[in-house]
Amino acid sequence: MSYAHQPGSEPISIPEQIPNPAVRPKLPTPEPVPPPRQPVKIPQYRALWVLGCRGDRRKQWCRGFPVRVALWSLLTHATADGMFCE
Amino acid sequence: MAFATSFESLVDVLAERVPAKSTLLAREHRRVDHGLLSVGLKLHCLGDGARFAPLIEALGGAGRVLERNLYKRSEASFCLVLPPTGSARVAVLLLECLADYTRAQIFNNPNVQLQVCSPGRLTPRSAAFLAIGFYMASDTLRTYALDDFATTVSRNAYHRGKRLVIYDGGMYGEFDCDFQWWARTENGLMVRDHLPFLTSRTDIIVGPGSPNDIININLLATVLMHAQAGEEGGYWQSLGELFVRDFSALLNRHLLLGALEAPWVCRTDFGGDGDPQSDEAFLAALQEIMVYARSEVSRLSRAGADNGILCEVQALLRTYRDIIGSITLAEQGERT
Repeated sequence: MSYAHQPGSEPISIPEQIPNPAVRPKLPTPEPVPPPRQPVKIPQYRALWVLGCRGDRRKQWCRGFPVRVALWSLLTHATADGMFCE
Repeated sequence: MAFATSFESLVDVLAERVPAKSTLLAREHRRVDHGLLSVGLKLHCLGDGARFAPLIEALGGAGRVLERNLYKRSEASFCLVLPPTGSARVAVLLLECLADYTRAQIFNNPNVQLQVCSPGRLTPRSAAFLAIGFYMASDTLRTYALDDFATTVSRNAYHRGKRLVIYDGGMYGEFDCDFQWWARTENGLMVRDHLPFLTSRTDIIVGPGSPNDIININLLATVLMHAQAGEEGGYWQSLGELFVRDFSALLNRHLLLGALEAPWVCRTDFGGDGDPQSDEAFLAALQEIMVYARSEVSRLSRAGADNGILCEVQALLRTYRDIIGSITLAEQGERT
């Protein structure tokens, strides 16, 4: 601790270090939020084609989703807008 | 001043506890950013420094790591001299690794005081710019006493006095010059593989310091050293000269130009202005700067203003950092 005082007066306490007000603390940059996964529109003919495929090829096109998703969208006539996630 | 250990040995030891950062350290050790100077660090440990004991032991013991050096702050129990790095960024990373390894707080710790070393000896006037620029731009405004700068060589060995800025130990020093130096030729940038200095350094005895201090000192030392590089043709020479002009004008506006005339650094080896009278003359100038900065803090807190010398110094450094950061090696020329 440092002291500054006139002789005969009460010593004034000076803090050893104070923050520099001109230095703005760097705010941590927030982690980028990934955009929500967008549904991918699959045309009707592809859904039909997928259903016609077998084995690995079907899995590949269904991208892990069960075949019933494709089938369901086909049966409900929603296949034009049927949704498979990327 | 002998390094405590080689960089490779240090990284090997750190890798035991901090593997990811150590890998990054090893890869980036000699990388120079935008022609900024390399950075050396000394840690003056006050207190018993018990947290550093395992590190020192792993590096070969106190006899090998610490006791080869005469130099330390008078109050310190030991001084750890770290091998230099190519940039302030890597220097900060190195200290973060040390903090992780030792589990000791290194930044802003009153018991771990930093000394930041830059290659080359600045002229006394440039040393004054370095000291004032560092002080005004720091995260914290410190109240230094003269004894905060007392070292084992203040009155003995090479008589450096008690100063914020201190030169190297001359022929007693160890210096790693294997870092790139950005030189200017008729054809533009030429990158040399070695620094144009044999042993010379200019250090700042920071005290408890922050990453921001290391980065600011590195920037200031670079522009000032390039401004005075002369025959070595520092690439940033004209920018450095412009910086000196801008900083002089700034100090003149605040009636502080006279502070540059004080003996901020002991200029000669073995005596000269390392005497107590010169120490007092230096302290008077430092106090003038400290009081002015503190009065600015009071004014800023009362008025909520965003002007004044502290803000101006921040803006000045930001401008020059942006200019230097905007130039890349790929754009400017070929390595030689």
